[in-house]
Amino acid sequence: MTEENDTTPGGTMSRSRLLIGVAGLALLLAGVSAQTGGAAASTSTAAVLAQDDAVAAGAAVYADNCATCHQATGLGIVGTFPPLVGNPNAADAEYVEETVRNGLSGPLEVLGVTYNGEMASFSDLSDDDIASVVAFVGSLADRDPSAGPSTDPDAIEPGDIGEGRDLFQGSNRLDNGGAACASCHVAGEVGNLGGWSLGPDLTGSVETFGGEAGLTGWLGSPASPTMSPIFDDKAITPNEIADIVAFLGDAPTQSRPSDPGDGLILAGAAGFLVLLGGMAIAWRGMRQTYAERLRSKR
Amino acid sequence: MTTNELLFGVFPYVAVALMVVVAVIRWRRHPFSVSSLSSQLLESRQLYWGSIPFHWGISLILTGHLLALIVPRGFELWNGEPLRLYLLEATGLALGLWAAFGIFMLAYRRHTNSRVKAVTSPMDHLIVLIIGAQIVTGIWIAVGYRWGSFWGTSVFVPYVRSILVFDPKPEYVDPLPFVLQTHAFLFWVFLAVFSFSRLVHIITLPLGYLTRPWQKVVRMRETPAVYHPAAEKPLERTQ
Repeated sequence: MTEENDTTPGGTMSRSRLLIGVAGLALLLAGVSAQTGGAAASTSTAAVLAQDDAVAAGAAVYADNCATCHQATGLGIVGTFPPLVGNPNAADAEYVEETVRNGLSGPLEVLGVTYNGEMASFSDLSDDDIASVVAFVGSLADRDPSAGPSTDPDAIEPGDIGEGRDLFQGSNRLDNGGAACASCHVAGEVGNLGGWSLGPDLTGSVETFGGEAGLTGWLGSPASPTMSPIFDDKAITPNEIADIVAFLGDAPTQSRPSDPGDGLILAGAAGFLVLLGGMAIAWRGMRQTYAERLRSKR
Repeated sequence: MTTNELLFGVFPYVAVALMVVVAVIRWRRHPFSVSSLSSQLLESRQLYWGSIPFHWGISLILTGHLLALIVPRGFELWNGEPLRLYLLEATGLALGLWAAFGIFMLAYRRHTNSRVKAVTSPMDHLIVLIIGAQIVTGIWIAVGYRWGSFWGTSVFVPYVRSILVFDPKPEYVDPLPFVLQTHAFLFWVFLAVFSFSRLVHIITLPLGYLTRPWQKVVRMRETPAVYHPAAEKPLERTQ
């Protein structure tokens, strides 16, 4: 080891401590102002969507809670998640508030399409949040849905399972540079040496999203809190989505390689033991210090 | 301001500021304290089994983290082949376990060896605790939230970069599991205490040693030699 051997002088630190305190405070203030600047910038995107404050606040609540199913566009997914844009129910504030608080299930017809899904209750939202999201959803009702639903099931081209697996595990990069699915997820035969991962197992995701159309629409703008910052400016292209959905659709039929010993932990532990073994060998050559050797010569 | 913004949007700047400002003040006012008090002469056997694994393990892992920050795409391309991903992660885990073993040995030595204990400050215990917790959460993440080297390039790299360009985006950290948030927060704590503690020795990396001739430190019980006339240069111990 080549460490210096100085002693730390004690005392006479009070002036430097004062200086440090002042400097720390100044930088804290600088940090706070940088932070509020950033927050203002991020809410300005919501402001574009809405004219007044309540609607703007509602847009943020919507993005966090509703966009996962009803989509960031509010157009929903045909046959799976009803659209809010152009939906007359969305203009009915009481109806929307009731639905947000208590959820909704059973058959429902919106713009000529019948839905039969289940919406969870969002009763844990604060009264303010509910009021603002009701205002935002109300603003969607007046919009023109002629842009069409975000996903038309008939327009989806069949994806390729093998291509989808390559994209999923990152062997082929996503065109816009988004993270490979396998960074965080396991699915089907892509099993990650034992299967633990940051995100959920996606083997049954097609079923979870009410069919391939549902998953396809969701992947168009993934709205979970973890995924949205990653994919907001790195959208997965429609062809990639088709391939990934094909792979995930096939995933339940694939068998995951069995890995009962959990390969990662075993490999890590083995490497650790090798390192310790190397140290033990090196120690034999350095056991005697120079002083000890000099003494032993006497 | 939310707690998330405070801890991951503001605190990083406080931490970095403390690190830089205090290091400069310390360097100017107490230049000989910008170091790490060596205890090798007091006890060397346990030090070998603590210091070597800890320093090599932590340095290599830190280098890996820095590389991911600099060339995230390189990591993504490397990890695209599952076998390479497993190799990288297993290597990281082995180094993490090695570093954990080392810091445990160092902590044990500081608590049990009376000669080492005599030169140990409360700050030494604190940083052992911080670094120990950092290594434990790192191993936890490596095992329980795979694959850090893969998703890290999409979560932590943009987050840290946002801090570096003064456009903090704490929302990257907000939805993450508690262990990951702890690991990120402890890094800023590490920077905050850096200049107040022996950690400051990291900035004194003795690159001159790479070209310097070999030098042997000899300590004899009979002759307390501080200055060895045979050494090519006088030792820098003027205090």
